[in-house]
Amino acid sequence: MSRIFKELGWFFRKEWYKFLLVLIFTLILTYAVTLPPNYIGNIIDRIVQKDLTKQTAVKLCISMAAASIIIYVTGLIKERCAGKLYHELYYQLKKRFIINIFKQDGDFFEDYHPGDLMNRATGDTWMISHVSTYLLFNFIDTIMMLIISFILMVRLNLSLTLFSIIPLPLITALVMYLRPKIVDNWKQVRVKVSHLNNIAMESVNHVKLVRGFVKEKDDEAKLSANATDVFYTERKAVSMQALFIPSFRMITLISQGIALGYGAYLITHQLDFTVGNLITFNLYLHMFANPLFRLGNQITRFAQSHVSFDRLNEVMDNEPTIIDKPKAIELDGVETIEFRNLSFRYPDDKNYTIEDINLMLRRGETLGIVGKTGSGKTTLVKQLLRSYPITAGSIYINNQIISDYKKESIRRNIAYVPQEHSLFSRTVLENLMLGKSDKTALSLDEAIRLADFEKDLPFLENGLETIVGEAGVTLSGGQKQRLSIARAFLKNADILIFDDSLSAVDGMTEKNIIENLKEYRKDRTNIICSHRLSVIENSDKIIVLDRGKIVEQGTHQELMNNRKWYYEQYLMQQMEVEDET
Amino acid sequence: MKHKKPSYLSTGKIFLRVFKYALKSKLLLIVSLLFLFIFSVLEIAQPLIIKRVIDDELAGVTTVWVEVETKTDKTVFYDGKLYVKDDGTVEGSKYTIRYYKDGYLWLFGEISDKDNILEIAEKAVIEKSNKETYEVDYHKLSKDDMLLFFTPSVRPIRLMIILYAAVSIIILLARYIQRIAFTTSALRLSLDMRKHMFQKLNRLPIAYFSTEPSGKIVSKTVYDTEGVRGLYEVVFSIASACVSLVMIYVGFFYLDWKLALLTFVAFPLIYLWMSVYRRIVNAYNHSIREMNSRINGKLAEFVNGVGIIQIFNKEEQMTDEYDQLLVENYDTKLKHLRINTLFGYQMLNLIYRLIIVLILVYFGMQYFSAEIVVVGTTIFVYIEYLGKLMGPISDIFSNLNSLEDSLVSASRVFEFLDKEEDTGLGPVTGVKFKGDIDFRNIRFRYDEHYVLNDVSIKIKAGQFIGLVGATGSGKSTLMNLLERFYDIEEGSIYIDGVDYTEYSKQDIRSNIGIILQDPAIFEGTIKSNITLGLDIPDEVVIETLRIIGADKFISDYREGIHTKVSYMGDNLSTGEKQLVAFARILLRNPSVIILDEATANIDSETEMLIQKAFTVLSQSRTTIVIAHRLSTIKNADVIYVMDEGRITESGNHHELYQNEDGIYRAMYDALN
Repeated sequence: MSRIFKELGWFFRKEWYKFLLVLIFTLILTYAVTLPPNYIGNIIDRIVQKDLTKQTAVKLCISMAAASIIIYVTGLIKERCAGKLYHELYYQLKKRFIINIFKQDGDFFEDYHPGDLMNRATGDTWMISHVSTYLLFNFIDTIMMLIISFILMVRLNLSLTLFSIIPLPLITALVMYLRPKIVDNWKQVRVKVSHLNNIAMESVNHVKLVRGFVKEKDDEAKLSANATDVFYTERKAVSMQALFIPSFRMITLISQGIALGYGAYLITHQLDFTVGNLITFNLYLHMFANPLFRLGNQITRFAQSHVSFDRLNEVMDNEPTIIDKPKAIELDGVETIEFRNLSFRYPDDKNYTIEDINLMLRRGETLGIVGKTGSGKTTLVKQLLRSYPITAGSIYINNQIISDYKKESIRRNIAYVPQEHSLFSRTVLENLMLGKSDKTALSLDEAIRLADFEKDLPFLENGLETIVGEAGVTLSGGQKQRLSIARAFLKNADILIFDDSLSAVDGMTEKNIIENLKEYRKDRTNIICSHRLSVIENSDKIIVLDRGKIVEQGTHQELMNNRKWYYEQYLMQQMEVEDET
Repeated sequence: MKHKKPSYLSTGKIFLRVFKYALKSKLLLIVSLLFLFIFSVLEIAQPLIIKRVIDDELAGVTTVWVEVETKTDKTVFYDGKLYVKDDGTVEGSKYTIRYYKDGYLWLFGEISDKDNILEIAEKAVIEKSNKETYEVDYHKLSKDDMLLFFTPSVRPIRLMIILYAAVSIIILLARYIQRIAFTTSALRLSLDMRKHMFQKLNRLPIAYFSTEPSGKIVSKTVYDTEGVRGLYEVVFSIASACVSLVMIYVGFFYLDWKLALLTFVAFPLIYLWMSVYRRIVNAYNHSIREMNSRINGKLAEFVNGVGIIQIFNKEEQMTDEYDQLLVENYDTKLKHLRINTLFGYQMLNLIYRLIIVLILVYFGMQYFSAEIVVVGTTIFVYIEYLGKLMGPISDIFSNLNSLEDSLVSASRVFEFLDKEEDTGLGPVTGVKFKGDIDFRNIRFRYDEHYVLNDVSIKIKAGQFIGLVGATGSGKSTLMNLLERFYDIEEGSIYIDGVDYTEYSKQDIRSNIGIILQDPAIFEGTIKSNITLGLDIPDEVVIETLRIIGADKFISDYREGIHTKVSYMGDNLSTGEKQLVAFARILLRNPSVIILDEATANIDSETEMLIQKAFTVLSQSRTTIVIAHRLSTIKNADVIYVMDEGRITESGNHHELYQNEDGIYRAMYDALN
């Protein structure tokens, strides 16, 4: 629990007065709640002893009503303050989370996958917000209630109190024992349900295969078997859960039994302990037992929250690897790019992904990078984007080392079309507009035309307003690529990078785009990675990567004369479409 | 903020159908109801036992006592004489014990319950209800004296406490059994429902699957069924709460029917509160949930697309967008908080406490009236009962909250189960086709726009056919029709000279092997993905892979064909998926193969493997390839070029190439 104060000190300092309010009203509320049992016991006593006066009766009734209203009002204020704090904290955490995510570099995302980050951003932030506000307040409330009810019980009769509460600590122990087991069981259930979900998704996604291979019955059997598995897991969880409250009641029962027995003894053997006292005591006993039950829950939940704190801190405290130097400058226009002995390997890898790259690129030049899958093309390009820190060697832009420039301004000068899908569940237009920058000199229509995306628009239901992705239309592989290309064109950056961006488009489209590229970006630097040599054939410079090293470089003609890998690949690819006659 | 969703079924019909499912676990339901009844009755008895102890034994001592001669087990020996409690049957001198200021007094004479002791000096001064006073002699009773008077009570008290304990234990057991029985029946309910839905899933026409995203469909079977279970639980909770309520009111009436009637005053109040509260809170809950899903959606987007966001320098813009949503959410949550704290459980509690005040006032007034004798413990029991009432009421209340959502879920489930099934399904007769396929004048549309406009193709068994054309030209649709994934309305397809609708859909599909653009891979092993459930020994599978030339890539994996494949085949490359798909087909040996070529990028090495595998596969089989790369179909017997649902050119590669104005020629040249 001290964790809360340690990690969220900033929040407590900011909102200290709200916390104080909650504390004060909790105290008032807890005390107020103990008044009614007293009044009730009193009235019953007076009636039993047949000495109730009108005065007393009226006084007690009014006090009872007043207490009820005070309880309502203080409860209300307390809940509101607590709630406000909760929502405020939740908001802060969620916001800080995303801000920090956006600062991170590529290596962070190697360690933390999207699904994992989502869990932390939702589940863990909720847990921490809840624990640091509601749970904390409930805990304080519980402790106060325990203390006050204990004092009141002792005031009525010390020995009765001591005897009655003997079995009660068992409640807390029992809760702390059972609860983790129960939580674990339910986790199991969620795992199984999630698995059922995945299996069902497969079946639905692959429905054509299931029908095509006449596998309907088998599929059904598989799904039913999984559903039955879920059933058994749920039943187990439910059985244990059903024990929970009854065991608490059982212990309270024993305690009540002792109170009744010993209380009866006191009434018969002592003159100063009355029936009314016994009734009041019984009510106080409940006020003592219930918090003990809640205490068990609270302690377990505090313990569980450690995990969430850890998980959230891992993200929040993580500093990005690439941080701008204090005097970092803006990059305004790219004239030259030079790779000097550049090498890179991932932190966990023994081998270098790219090794000893030496390359010079000038404005107006187009560089083609080819090589087998895994030869390091993307890694090389991502170094320029400052997605990963440089392991060895350096990159110079305009003759100045890349680390002299602000990370953010380097990116302003690069337009990138990635290999993987990179679209958002928004309208086509919104996706395109991601490329809009201060340097945008093209109109939207032009960018679309250059990327050969024009022809796709009529096929989209709402044209530019069609929503892409989850909630809307699924674009074909080629359409996605063309859209990404149009977006990159729109940015109008000095450097344009195509990372295998033409793999899904057909030959004609590919030709069009490359031609447009040549024409429209002849004064700018272009870097194209590709499998198909036809794409980079006309580049000013071509490098062939193999296991991270440059094994061949030159123009297309020079490489053809080399008669090495490039030459063989080129011929092979030509044969695929060559006319034999 | 409040929107009514059009429901597929009326609420009444939904309940009926859910109930029909529930009846499948009749026994569990009966057990559940039985034990519900048991503990509801016993819970009324519980406080009554305490009352009895207090009234008759503990407080019972402050009553009128009669002097008697004979000793029984009910007599008390005090001050040399025997006394017994006055129950109207015995004659003798009467004395009264009364509690006064921390002690008990032995008063000479019979003092009425309505009379109060004013003060004690030489004599005790008693005040009547009409303010008249009189005096009586008295003794002060010591602790030991009192003990004597309590002696006859000791055994009864012990018995009562044991009885109380026994009743309480039975109540606990009954509650436990009831809960287990009921929840098991609820779990059974969702299991049965899921099974039915999975059955239905594979009987629905393929067209259905393009009307909804797969996530939504699956969510119905997995999550909406949980919602229906929630519905069932709600109904039962409300039912058992009603049973408890009725029982408690029986108790109320038994004790004091006038007050019981008075408490009815609270019901319209509570009802009013519940309906107002529900309506407002529901609306808020709804929009909060919607907003949460939007926030999560956006978060997912960001987390998955960080790279792009960073590269395009849109961090700030995205953060602002996100912040907007968060702030909106925050504001709504605060509004909800305000209403909730004002009218939520606090209010219910307030009503509860004010009812207690009502009870106190009522009994107080009775006390001061001349005629009625009030027993203090009645107040105690009444308050106990009232406490037991709160449980069921807040149960009903919190359950009604989730009722809305459960009804929506149930509606979706039943709508799904009622959907029209696919036609043309039938038994698998095992008929084997030769592979002559004749498409005759096919016209077809999915919605309004015709995708196929009078297509006729004649294929001879064993031929290798290529289909090319731009996106949307109808190639895939033609194959959808051949597989009878969709039903033809205009035109017909003849297989081996017979209209193919004469066969069941399963028969046709058993004879056709399909390989989709992105081959379907399931969680399991490489072997299970190839055998697809058929019991086939390892050697046969390995041999199959060898024949298509794919054994090399299998041997690259440490566990060979038993290598685990993850969900959706994420750990396999596209090329490897294709090879698995080829192996599947070969194993089944259909007379017709349809290959919808993958468009994703494959490296040249795997590319070659696939070409080789394809060559093996297409031998002596009718092969139809929907091509994206012209290289694959170069050797086809006939190539059909499609444009806007029509065949524009046909012939083999050489013939088509000669046509200088043709689409084929243009496509070919573009790639060169």
